[in-house]
Amino acid sequence: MTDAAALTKRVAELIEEVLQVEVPDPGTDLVAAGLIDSLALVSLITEVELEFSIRLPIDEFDLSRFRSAEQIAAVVADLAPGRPVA
Amino acid sequence: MSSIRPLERADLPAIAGLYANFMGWDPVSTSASLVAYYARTMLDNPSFDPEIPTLVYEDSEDGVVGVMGSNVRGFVYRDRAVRVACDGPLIVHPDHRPRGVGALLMRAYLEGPQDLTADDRAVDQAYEMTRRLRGETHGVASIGWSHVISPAAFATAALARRVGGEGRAAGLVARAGALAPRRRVKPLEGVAEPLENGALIDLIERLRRAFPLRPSYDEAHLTWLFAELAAANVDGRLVRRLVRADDGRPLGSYVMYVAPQGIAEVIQLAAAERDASLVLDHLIQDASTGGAVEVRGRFEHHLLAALRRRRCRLVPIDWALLHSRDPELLAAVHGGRALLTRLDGEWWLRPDPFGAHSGASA
Repeated sequence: MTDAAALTKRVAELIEEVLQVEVPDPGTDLVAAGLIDSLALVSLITEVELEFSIRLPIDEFDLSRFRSAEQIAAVVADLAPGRPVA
Repeated sequence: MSSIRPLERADLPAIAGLYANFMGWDPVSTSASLVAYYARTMLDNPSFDPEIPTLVYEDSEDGVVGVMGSNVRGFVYRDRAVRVACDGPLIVHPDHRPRGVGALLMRAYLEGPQDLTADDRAVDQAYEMTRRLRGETHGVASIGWSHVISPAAFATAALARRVGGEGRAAGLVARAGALAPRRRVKPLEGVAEPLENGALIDLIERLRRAFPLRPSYDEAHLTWLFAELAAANVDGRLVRRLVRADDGRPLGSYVMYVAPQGIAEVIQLAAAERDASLVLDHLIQDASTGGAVEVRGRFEHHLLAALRRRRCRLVPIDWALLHSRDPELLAAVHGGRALLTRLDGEWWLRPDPFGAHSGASA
């Protein structure tokens, strides 16, 4: 498994843990699927920051890049390049 | 790309539209009044702090679709100046709520440079969001208290509200009040007199030992504050009094709205715990004279003994929330060493685009 795939898998697991939902596919649009609302987003942001020791941008948080496990993993990879996935 | 940025004057019509939509008001006829209101409260108020501004969420396609209001208040903790940011209102266009815009605005606001963020009118969803952003519940202030002045008029008012018709309700309450046995008003110690700005500033300084964390009022802020309070969309006439002991010493003050045949809502009762009972007695007598049938307020540590003595009942109210990176400030609030009341919060900040509240006060 590549680092990117492992990171996506870990993000998908985190989404399932935090939101208590099953992510059918890493590419599933969580917004379109109705899995993300304000509360879910707050929880997800907080847990992603804690899990990967990163700070997501505040003023220009691009929601269009935070809609699926794959996209969230890409954001994490941008902010913490080269970070090994536990 | 969408972004969160400080409110600009050009955004005010969009903010007015969001609020009118939220309240179910006609956005066209209320726009001018709401624009003027938000200019006064969010941009032109004397406590405006450019480092802790009202935030807007600007969508790349739909423009401004969300706002997080900011009301900054100057406080002092012991001898240190601190900035208390009272957040709200938080309004998001319905089409953008499912996208988490409200959460992003709240997160951005809580990351600001303020020493303490306080919210005194939070609904359940804001409560959940704040908790998940490592905020805390201000437990004591999330409970309200109620004192029934006239049980007969209170019961009649409650019944009249159920059967409908404001005019009919008022008539029934007035009749019930007239029929109820008159209690002999017991003369109180001390005297209540109109509260001037300077007297409130002096009083808060006198209370520094009771409240190491307290507001740092000045004349310009209080002039603005009381003008907005008098014009706010809250039922009743604004009443503010200073209570002096018989020897002339200032003991405390109160600010409240008194609605004849309705509720007197307490905005602030400032007094050391030892004097709070007498100040509360004056407040209740004042509310009764003004025709209120019930007094309500927010529970605060320094009022505990006074409320117990009066056998006030507790009632649920909006959530009060706190957020700070300074544990000493949080400990001061939770430990009852802060004078943090509705006067410095957002509870009463309600625009009145129909001009029903003309600014009357006493």
